[in-house]
Amino acid sequence: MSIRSSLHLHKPVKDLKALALYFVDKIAVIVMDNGENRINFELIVKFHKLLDIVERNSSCKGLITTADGKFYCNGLDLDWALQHSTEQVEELLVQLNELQMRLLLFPMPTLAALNGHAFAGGALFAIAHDLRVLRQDKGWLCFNEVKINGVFVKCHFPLMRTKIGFGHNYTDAIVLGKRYTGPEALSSGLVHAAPPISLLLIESIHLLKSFSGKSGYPRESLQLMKSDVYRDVITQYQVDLDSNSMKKAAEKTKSMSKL
Amino acid sequence: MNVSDHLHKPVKTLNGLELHYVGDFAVIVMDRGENRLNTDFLDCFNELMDDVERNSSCKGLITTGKGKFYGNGLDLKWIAGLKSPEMFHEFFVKISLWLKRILVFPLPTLAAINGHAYAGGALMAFAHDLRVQNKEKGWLCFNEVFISRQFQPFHYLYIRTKIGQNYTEAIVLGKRYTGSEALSNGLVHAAPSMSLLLSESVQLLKSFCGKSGYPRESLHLMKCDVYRDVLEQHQRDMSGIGREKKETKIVANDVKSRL
Repeated sequence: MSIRSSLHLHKPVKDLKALALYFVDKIAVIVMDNGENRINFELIVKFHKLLDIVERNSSCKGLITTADGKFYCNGLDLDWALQHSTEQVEELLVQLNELQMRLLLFPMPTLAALNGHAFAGGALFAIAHDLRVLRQDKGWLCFNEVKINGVFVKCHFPLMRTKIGFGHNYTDAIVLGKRYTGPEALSSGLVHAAPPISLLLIESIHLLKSFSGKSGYPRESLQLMKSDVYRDVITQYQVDLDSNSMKKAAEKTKSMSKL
Repeated sequence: MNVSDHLHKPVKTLNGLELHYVGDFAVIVMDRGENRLNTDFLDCFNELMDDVERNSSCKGLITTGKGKFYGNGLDLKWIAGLKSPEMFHEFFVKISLWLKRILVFPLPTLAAINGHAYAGGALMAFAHDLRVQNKEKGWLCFNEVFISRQFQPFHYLYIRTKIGQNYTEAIVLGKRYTGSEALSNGLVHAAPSMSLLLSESVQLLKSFCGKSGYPRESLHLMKCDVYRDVLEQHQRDMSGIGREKKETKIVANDVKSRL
């Protein structure tokens, strides 16, 4: 049972191979299909292209991102990082954070439908969405940076804290890198639902629509509201860009990739 | 039934503080009656923590008490006997540094709450990553509000990060929690029977560590990042304590007058 087969009535509006865009009843669905869907320049560029198409579609009322197979996203492409310079890794982090911010402030409600593992950068990517759904029976959601000498950029902390909340779920997830199955993520408030895989997409669409209601969100209003609610994230993000935070993160990523 | 009934001979004993090992986990057992905080307690505790840090095969730290108390807060009688505001000030710096040390310790930490954890004892428990409280005896309680005491500014920040939603009830209203209540309010991670306190604590710590445990530096840095606001406030509080010498004299006299 694959995500794509549950989209069998629909042809992709745009197919970029590793990434494809579908429209299902006024909801955009971006499907990643590239093994571990590790984050590199190619994925980021393609993602932006599809997000542009989604934004230009005035009848679209929401965005779901998902993937086919065992992984939603297993984080940064560390093999790539190993083979490239610190400056290039820094550029990757800058672009990744830009994509995350775009998702965070997207003028439509967003939902990450986790078909499988979401580790490290993949977990962060999922957290940048408004809603999360994790399949019930397989796959983990895990911010395992602490276990692999990984690093967050400063703006990630207010982001994770706002989404997860203060309390032991936040500290368990981030300080101790706890690994969550669907049901565990649901009871800890990290995801909004944990259906079986065959219902992942249907329940995601249903959940998204339950928030949108009949008329959906006025786009500008939603974007402004997100900018207000995530004010501290945005402010810290600006600081991170202006300072050498990205450079430091790149250096750490490089040394991490060698392990 | 004492927690330490399950432990073998301590590796080291310092004035009622015992250091044991259970597999790869260090267990500090406090056996000083109410386990109240004074300079001798802190000096001995710090020395045992030094030993734990120096043991490169150690993968985690559990702290617990013997008998009716985990910790009943500051040793107010002893404080009242301090001869000068300078000694008072020195003690408060020491206790603040000790709490910070536990907060960012380079190993996962767990407070196994065998009995009452009041005021400073609760502060100590919350400086740990994880908390397990027995469900049969004792309360966890920040009762400062009832005895006209305030927290240091940095305390508020780490308590808030650890507790989350029920923060105001716990701090403003000084609510007291049995093990079961603490569990359902997100203050502790488990509430086993007294006889299972140690073994469940060890199990819980193991479940976070996984096979390889945490790289020490990575864990320490992650804690510094997650608790960045706490550490920044802690710095300010430390220099503030210097400026407040006049006030500490007033507080010291105030404490004296209460006894």
